[in-house]
Amino acid sequence: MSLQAFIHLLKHEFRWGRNDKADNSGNWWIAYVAAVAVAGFVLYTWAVVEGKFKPQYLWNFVLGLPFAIFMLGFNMILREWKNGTNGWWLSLPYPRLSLLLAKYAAVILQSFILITAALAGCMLFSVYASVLKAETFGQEFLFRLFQGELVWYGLILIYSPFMAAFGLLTGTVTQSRWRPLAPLMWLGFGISGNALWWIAWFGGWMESLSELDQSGEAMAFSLQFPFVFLLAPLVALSCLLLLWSGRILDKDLNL
Amino acid sequence: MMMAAAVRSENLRKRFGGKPALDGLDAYIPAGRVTGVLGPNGAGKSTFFRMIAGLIRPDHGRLEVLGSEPGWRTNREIAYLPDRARWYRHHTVERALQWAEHLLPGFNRERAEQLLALMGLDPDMKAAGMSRGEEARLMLTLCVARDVAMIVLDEPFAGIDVVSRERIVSALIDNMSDRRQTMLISTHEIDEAESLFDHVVFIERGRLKMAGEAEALRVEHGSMENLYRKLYR
Repeated sequence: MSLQAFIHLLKHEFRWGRNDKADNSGNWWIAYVAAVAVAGFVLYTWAVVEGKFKPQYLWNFVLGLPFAIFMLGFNMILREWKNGTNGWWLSLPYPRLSLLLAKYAAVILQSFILITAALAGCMLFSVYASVLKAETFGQEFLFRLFQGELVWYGLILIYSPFMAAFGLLTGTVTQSRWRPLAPLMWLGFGISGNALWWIAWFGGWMESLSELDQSGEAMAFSLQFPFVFLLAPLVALSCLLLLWSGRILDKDLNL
Repeated sequence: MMMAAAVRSENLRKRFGGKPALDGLDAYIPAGRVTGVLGPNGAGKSTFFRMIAGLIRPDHGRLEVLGSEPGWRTNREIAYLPDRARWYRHHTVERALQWAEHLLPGFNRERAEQLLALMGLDPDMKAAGMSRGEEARLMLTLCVARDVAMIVLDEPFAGIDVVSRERIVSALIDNMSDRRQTMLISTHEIDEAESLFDHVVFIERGRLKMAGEAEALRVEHGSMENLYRKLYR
């Protein structure tokens, strides 16, 4: 496959949501989303001022990101069948692994955007908390918080190639003669999606990290832990999952 | 005299969940001609076409397409319209043309624009807002506007109105007049499509029931539809 064709396919795959309406008349749900966002903002302001909420609690949302990344991969495959376009996709004159890699690259890009947006959101809300209650969430607090946020989001970033590949594989398995494995894959989804939580929990540093303890032990641990060395095995595992998906697309599809 | 084969299958078998879809199909599709692949629902036509397009592999037997084993490489020379296919809902007609230009070898943009005019499709139309007939015409345009050795159309008339069917048939006739491509068409709309066929293959329960030159069969049986009724009654 030429680079030009690959890039075109990547652009084609890179789209959020359904985006399949004939016009914009069905976008009324945006009003509800905006209302919920405004209500959430008001509630956050009140909780921070009253001392009922700390900005680091926002990190809990991070734990959901691996699940979201998996679903991006899973839906990337599923939508070909759901939308009736699988015949076009599979009959393209390129190796199935290349077709899959275009989807994988699209999911990785989407994940990166998602993770970055979540990080930016967390930081903005933290700064806002600092403005609201400078005596509690002052400059020193913000510095430690940003350090912690970067660690959490770095972890997710390192983990996302694996979750994306796993999502693509699960999507492929559900459309193949390997379908009986699907319940096991979903079990794996539950376990692997929570991997960061498991690591933090069993490492015994989750609580102290989320409390931003003054001793700095948790922070020191999180910064010293060689997370970056997890990247190589995770990428290797992702490659194996992608190769398996490619083989299924080649030989074992139920059409 | 037998012409060169575009597709040749020997004892082709495929089962889905224990049920045979193809059960020893021996077929010969001549090159450079229009072949109608006919048979009732469940006869194995779509399975045969999916194998030709390399989407699925036979469990047993031999299939040769354009002199090679079918797969993504042979698809460079095959324009395939899948059965019950839909187009990408977020595409406009123009974006669909760009998609084809970038991803489908041999796609002829100029030819596609001529066909779109014939099909009554505007470049700004969005697939999500199209009728089934308009969507079918768009998909057919993307297949037919390719300079490739073989075009495979699986049920191109299914679920679409008479006007769209007539437009599609006239586009196909127009296409054949200046090209020597192999074309395979499976359809239940025999009455409307039979004028297109040079050669016909009848399939039943995954096996070949009858094959021959369309003209000779028409002379012998009055029409292809008559023959179809006789064979599958």
